[in-house]
Amino acid sequence: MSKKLAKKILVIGWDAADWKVIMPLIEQGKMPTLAKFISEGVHGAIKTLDPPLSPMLWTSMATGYRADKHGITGFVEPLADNSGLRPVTSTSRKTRAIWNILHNQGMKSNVVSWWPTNPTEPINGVMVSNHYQVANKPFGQDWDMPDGTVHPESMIDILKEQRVHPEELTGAHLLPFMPNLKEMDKKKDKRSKSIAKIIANAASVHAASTYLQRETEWDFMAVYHDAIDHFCHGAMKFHPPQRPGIPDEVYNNYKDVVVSGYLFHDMMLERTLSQLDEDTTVIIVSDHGFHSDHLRPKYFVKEPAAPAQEHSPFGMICMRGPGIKKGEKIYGASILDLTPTILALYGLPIGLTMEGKPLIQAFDQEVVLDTIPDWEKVEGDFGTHPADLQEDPWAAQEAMQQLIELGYIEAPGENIAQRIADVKNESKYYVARNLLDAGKNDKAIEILEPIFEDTKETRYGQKLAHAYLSTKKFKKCRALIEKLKEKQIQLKAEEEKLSDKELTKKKKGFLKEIELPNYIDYVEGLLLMYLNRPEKALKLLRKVEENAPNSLSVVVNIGKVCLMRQRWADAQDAFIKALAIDESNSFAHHGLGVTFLRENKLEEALEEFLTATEFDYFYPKAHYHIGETLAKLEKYEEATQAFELAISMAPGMTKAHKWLIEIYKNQLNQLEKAAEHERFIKEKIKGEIVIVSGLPRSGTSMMMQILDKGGYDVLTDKVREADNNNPKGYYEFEPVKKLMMDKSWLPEAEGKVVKIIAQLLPFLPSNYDYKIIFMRRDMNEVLKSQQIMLGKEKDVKSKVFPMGLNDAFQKQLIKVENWIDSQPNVEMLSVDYSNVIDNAEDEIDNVISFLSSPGDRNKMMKVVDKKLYRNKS
Amino acid sequence: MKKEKETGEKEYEIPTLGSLGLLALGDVGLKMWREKRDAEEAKEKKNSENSNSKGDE
Repeated sequence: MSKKLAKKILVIGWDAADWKVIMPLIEQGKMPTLAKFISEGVHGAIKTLDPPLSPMLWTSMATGYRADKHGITGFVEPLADNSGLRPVTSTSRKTRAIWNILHNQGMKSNVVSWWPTNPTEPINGVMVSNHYQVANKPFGQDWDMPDGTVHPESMIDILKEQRVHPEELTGAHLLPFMPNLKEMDKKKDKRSKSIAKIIANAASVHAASTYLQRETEWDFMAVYHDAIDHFCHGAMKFHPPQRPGIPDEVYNNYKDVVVSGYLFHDMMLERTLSQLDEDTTVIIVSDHGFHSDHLRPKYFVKEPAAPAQEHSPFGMICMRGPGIKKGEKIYGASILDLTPTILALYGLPIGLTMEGKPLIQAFDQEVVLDTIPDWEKVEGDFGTHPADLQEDPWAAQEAMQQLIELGYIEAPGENIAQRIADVKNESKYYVARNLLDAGKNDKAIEILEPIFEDTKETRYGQKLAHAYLSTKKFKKCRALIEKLKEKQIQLKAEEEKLSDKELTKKKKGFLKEIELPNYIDYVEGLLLMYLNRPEKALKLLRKVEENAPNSLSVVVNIGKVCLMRQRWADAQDAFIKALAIDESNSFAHHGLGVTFLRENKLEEALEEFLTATEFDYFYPKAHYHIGETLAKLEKYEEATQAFELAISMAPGMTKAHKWLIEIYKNQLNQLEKAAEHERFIKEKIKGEIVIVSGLPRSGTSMMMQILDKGGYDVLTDKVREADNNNPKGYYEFEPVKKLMMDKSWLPEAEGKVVKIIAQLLPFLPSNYDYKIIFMRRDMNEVLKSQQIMLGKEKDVKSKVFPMGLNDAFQKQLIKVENWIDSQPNVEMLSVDYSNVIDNAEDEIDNVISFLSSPGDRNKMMKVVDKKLYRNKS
Repeated sequence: MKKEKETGEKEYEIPTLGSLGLLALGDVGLKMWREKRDAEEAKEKKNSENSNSKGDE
């Protein structure tokens, strides 16, 4: 067992709490309790998971697992008898929560209102479910508490009394939120009612938790408040500054709601902390942030959990008490880290299968962490539900109504079966997004392909396209884009049939993703970017930008393409624009840093890289560039730390190993450490070989010549001499022809360019890195050229080619492309032969930016000879 | 509303209509407010009964 740093831990969950709102309030002295708290402990941003949906997120926080493992996949689930839907229940959770592990370890826990804990589990301690606070009867009537709301039953009566009914509240409670309450027309505007409900629910949870905190014995306590999230969903659109289109009257009525919500939480926190002894470590945490500035969305894309589009990717975390440092900032926290951190503070082993890490940077002393292979495989009593537990659907009805009112789910339609099927697909979609967020693209594709095929739902297609791009399945991505284009045409045709009235009504509602400006152009632009066609990609992305000038992802990707083209000034413009849209965007900070670094503005570069890691700590490239910048600033010790960190996150990062060898050897005289990295490179890292490939007669010799003249080191033995078919030479290397049997010549090709026909590529060994320039040419032209070379001019004239040759070549090409797609050590640039002839400048620029070192562009251009383009189809 | 005790401790008078501050005090604040509210309501009820009964005389 590792050292126990904390005796008691209290976790306070504030759904959607965001430093962007909190910090100005702290500066104005309006949140004094939280201000004192963070001065006595650590604080920082915490990264959410995608999709940012509360039931999934709070379960990830309580278990250390993502949704594919923990099984909570959305807001609703079908009833056991499939007669309808119900809010997601605790019985659906497939992994143990922190309170189950603590139960197993003989510790007592109080859990209040955590998502989703209904029905409550029989843990050692008290559990109050997330249905506890929901008023299901008018005020004055007997307000029942459904079965499964409180464990143990002995606590039911006392906790029943702690609930506050919304209608019980008076103007004294509501006026701080809505100072114009008396003048407001409450019949016309229902918002005041829902704000009263949120305050009452928060007061209920707080009353129950303060009672349990004081009157029961506990080792661990977790209290969840949804009020900040609900205040924000209801009123962030009225939060100052007033946005265009928001009428003065409604703005003035609700502009104070969000701030008052935060202030109320600060007041509740004061009471909670005042009841604690000094032995308690406290963690205040949110699951995601909430856009409060110019990033507030102007419209929602039509989808069942549309309000989640208001969530921002970084929430807040702060910790204080025994075991925690004082007055420091922490970086790189993820919501998956909560459970491992709690286990580490208690000195309990962390499950190796858990997907988060303990936040040891927050601890005030070094600890040796204890681990266990898998908590799920430990036998014993964990205070979990009996396997055969049945849920009472009535208990869930009111909570479901609340979700509908909040806009998280649609009201059930008449066709229940269809609704259940839709929810099932939607849940799968959420799991797939969660997997994409984790970089598990192949698993996500397995889920997305069938649900897109079944439904043709554009959102599913969009995520699938991104998954294809990430896994280099470019052909599949291209085919998918074509399908989406067809759907767009179909939708436009349907829209044309609508009357003006219907059209206006439709436009007022949600937008469908397919209707977003230039959505398909955007995906296609990304595809071209991945295919190393930067000019074409840039053209499409710029077109998208014109129609959607504030789209962060579009601007960031324009910056990325400009980086590919080494257009530092254009890239700088794009990243600065991205940061004007969202100053916390880590990609934009990193990209901007790269432009500064390449312009040798080292201090500026360093600042941007550090900011990038502040917002996203697990960012190996940014750490690598911090190392590179520090090395250039001759701060070698610090540089090695950055490179080592980059390698710890991405062990195969060859460049970082090479920098470390150089610094340890030549600057710090630490030869042993240098040797360590040399050994790593020798054993694991391959050299790079540039390959020019394609079908015979697709322009490979021309490309070899271009590279030769550009100053690239080409590997050729000139055994095959120039002839009429290739007057400028073949640029071949005889041993290549024996690649299937003999690979011994490959070391000779390291760092050079070699020509290998497409059919031989799959015989390349995997212990090298390959950059393949793949020449493409119209198949008829290829065949024509081959026949002439074979002396069969007659066949060319009569267009009689050997039967099936075209098909056979096409099949071979598909096979080779699939091989390329599946190789992690292969990068490919497609070059179209006719484009080289017609638009040499563009294609040669593509080639130069694809290769690591720049070539002599002018000399390369001179090679292109239109006269040699003889066998046009 | 606020009275100073001899000990220097501040003593708060509970408003009948409650306050956010009382809700923020959790179960204890909620209990105090409800007691005050219910006592006031009972008092008002009694007063109104008394005045009704006087009217009957």
